Amino acid sequence: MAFRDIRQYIEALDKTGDVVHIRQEINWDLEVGAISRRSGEMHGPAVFFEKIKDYPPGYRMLSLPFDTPRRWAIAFGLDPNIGVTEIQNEIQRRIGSRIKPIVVKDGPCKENIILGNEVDLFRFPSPMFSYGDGGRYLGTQSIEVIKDPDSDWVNWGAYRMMLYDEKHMGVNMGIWNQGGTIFVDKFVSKDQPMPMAVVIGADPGSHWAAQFRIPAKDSEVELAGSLRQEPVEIVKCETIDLLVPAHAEIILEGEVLPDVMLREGPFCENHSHECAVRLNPVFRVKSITHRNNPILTVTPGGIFGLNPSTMPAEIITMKRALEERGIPVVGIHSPDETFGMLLIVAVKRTGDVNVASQIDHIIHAVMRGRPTMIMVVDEDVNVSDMREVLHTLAARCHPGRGIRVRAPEMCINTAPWLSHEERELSRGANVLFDCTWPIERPKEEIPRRILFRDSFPDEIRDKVLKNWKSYGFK
Amino acid sequence: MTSHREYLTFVKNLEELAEDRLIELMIADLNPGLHKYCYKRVRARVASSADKLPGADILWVRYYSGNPHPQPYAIKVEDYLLLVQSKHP
Repeated sequence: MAFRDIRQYIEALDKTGDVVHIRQEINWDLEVGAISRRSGEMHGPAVFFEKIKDYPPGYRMLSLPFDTPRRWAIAFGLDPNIGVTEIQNEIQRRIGSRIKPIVVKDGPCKENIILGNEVDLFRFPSPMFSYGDGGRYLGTQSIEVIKDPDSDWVNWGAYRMMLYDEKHMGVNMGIWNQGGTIFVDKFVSKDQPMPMAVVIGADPGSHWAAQFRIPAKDSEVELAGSLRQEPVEIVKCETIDLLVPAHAEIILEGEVLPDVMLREGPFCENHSHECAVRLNPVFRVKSITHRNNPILTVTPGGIFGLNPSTMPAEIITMKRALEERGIPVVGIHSPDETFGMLLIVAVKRTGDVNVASQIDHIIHAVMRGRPTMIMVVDEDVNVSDMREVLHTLAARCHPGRGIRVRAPEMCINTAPWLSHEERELSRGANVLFDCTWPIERPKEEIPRRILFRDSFPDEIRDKVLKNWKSYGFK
Repeated sequence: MTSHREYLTFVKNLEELAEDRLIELMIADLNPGLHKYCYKRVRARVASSADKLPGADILWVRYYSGNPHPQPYAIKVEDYLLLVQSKHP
């Protein structure tokens, strides 16, 4: 049975020991960020802050809600001890279909309605996460709902949002994501404000759906239904013509202005570096609705060594795209430490000389801006074993013909290595490391890699394993 | 003793903080309370050291990367302007 809301999800985390409740008063100014970051770096539990300095009782915060594979599994009602591959396989099974949402007349997200001059974004305990951030971030685990004015397409995205003042936030939205493309093509071009709703503290399936890269015109709310295996209940906003999850904690309604860009950031992004200041669009809030005792869902971003919670969704999207185009994928992996920027794909050897380039083109067409580094290896490489992967890079990637750089190329604007000018244009570079044996090299000329697991006759290998301890090994 | 208010601004380089004229900049209010880090757009005079601008408040400066400038500037706010200047009401 699906989690109706984030509160039921927290109850599930309680049962498995995957959340810590902090009941002493914690300061939203850096202390929340420090605790969250330390727990994340230790691959620790989610953190539920129940008492926050300066804020009335009942205003709470859930940090790192979906940031470990255990919590991914729990979010989907799976055993928290299963592996990432099993989680990905189950997600892939569920997203084969779509479940339409149900429109309801009312919902808990409307227990409190604040309009006009009463709107004040500082009523929520938005954290100052890191020393050196550009401001307080209200949107780090949120869903941004946008509608294409020329069709029925409603897009859900997940963009970071920084507080400016009581009614304005900066939104890190650009042409590398679908929401940004709608904004630029359909609203900026006509100098019209774009209605947008920001959803905070929805059910886990909805948050996950917002982070999936699905084709334009596909529906994230229906995808959320598939992930949850139940339809999402959605309710009409008060001041704009959009529908939002009815059981969410907080809804901000407003519009993104077509004629204003303000400096937003820095903010520690998923690469564990401060993403530098950038000019970004401004969201003006016209209405706030929220549940009683609202829970703000947040994540500090960029926990070193912790896979971003978007990764399973992105891996699945990429694997499907490759398989649908006939690429014989044997394995696909993005190491935690590379925050989604490095992708390793193992393929079955085929007669196609361009398979590595094909993979490169397909991935970049589907993913728009990340990963920026793709490594293609033969099927005998375990893509999840970094020792094997690094060994393969050194042993099989010809420095002259195996490394192909394309520049300029669209690039996610948070990459630390971008210059300021490149960041403003979301324009960087990407690289392909082709570590496959050249197809024109006859099989008999390919050097044999010698490993215990596959370089000895079975009877020798079995005998050695059987006698291992008797030889004197521990 | 006069207590000074404290503010924060981000710059691409220090040339944005010209000292010989009134400049317009966005500053975040660092004074304690619920609205700490609330941004304002101001017209102000700034100086690279407090003794050049007696009675001024403190302006902490960070670069776009987030790295801090080692010494705070001084700031005297002359006017508060509309933070978001859009023709759409």
